Amino acid sequence: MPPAPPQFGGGKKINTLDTNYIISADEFSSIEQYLLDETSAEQKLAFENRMSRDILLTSKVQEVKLLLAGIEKASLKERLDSYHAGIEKKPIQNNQGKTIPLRKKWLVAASVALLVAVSVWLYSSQGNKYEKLYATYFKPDPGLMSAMGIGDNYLFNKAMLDYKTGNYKKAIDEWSKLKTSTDQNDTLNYFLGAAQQADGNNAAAIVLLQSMASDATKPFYKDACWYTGLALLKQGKANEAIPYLEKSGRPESSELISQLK
Amino acid sequence: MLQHTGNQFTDTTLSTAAVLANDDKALESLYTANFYKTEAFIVANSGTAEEAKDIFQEAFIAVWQNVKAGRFVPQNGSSLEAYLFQIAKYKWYDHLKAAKKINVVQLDDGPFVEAASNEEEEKYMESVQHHFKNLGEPCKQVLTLFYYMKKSMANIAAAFSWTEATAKNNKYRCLQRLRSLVVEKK
Repeated sequence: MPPAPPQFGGGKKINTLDTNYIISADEFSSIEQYLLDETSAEQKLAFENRMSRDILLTSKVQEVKLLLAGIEKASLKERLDSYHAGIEKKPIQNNQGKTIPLRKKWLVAASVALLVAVSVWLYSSQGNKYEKLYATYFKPDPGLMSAMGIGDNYLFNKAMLDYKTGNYKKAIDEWSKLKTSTDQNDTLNYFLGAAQQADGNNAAAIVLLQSMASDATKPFYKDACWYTGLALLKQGKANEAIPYLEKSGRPESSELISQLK
Repeated sequence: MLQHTGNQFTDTTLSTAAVLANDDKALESLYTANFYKTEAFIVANSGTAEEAKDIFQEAFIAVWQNVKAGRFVPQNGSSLEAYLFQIAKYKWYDHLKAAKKINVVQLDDGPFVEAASNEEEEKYMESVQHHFKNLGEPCKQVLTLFYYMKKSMANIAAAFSWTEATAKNNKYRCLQRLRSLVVEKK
């Protein structure tokens, strides 16, 4: 956790927005509940009555409202920078030099659409059963406990928090930065694979998880077997999936295998 | 996706509800689907890619704020995307006018006017944003998860392997710290 913050309050005035007071934890909590509309109708009315009699409370509410709005806006700004970093990685199409004639563009678009439609049709007629089983049995790895401490694992743990709150793309991004070509960090590889799988990038997940599932001495061997099996199943490769599922030791594996045979 | 209705476009996926909820996927797609159009416009009108990014982000934040304040209500097939582009255009014209690069006729702000905000409140908010950047990662994460991502305290506690009481206490300490930076250093 962060170091102990300075005492709340006691600050200078910002023009006429009077901030020279202390807001206790309890008081903050009741102001926040009021602002976030987490109170009952009676509580809300009672709070508003208090505000009408207490000018200081009104000032505090006004300030906390700005504080929370400022946090929300600052958080949005950080998200925008992250979205921007995402689009900068993608090559800009048709902006540099060559332009494709409009008619050709339509042809390309039409053929891509046709290809997608045909693949979806082929896939759904055969793969639907496996897809459904995958959806039933796949639950992302719950992740590791992270203390968010400062140290070697700080960046890893920070991304673990993204993973655990469902922000898989960001976790992939952060963990990928930690991964070097010579790095054989099993934990990192396993969770990078887990994040890819949870984000729907099945092929990328298989590359990472399958190598962990081929060596029984690896730390996440059994989990890697389970998730590799599921990833193969999602690709419609039931026969290849079964040996991995068998080695996973998961209680639900035999039930799943019986539906594949 | 976009649906053609007469000569207007109606956006059926990027609803204002998604913006109100700070839905990350929806906001990301609103951003990525519209940036290049704005960039092309700005670059074609004496701007640079870097200026395009700044103007687009300012416009994006303005759209977000206006949706939250109920100042943008989709009507007659108007879409958030068109609204975003329109605001970016106005902001770019303003920028050019301020830089005296062009002689722009006074434009009617129409529905794009931003909140009439009080100057000291504006200063306070700016200070919050400034100090938030330097708050330290754990505090930023906790505050973003709660106030922006709208995650529950139970969810945050689980993610950090804290008890819920610890999570609440830590959130309060982070707020205290941010507030003291804003109030004392302003």
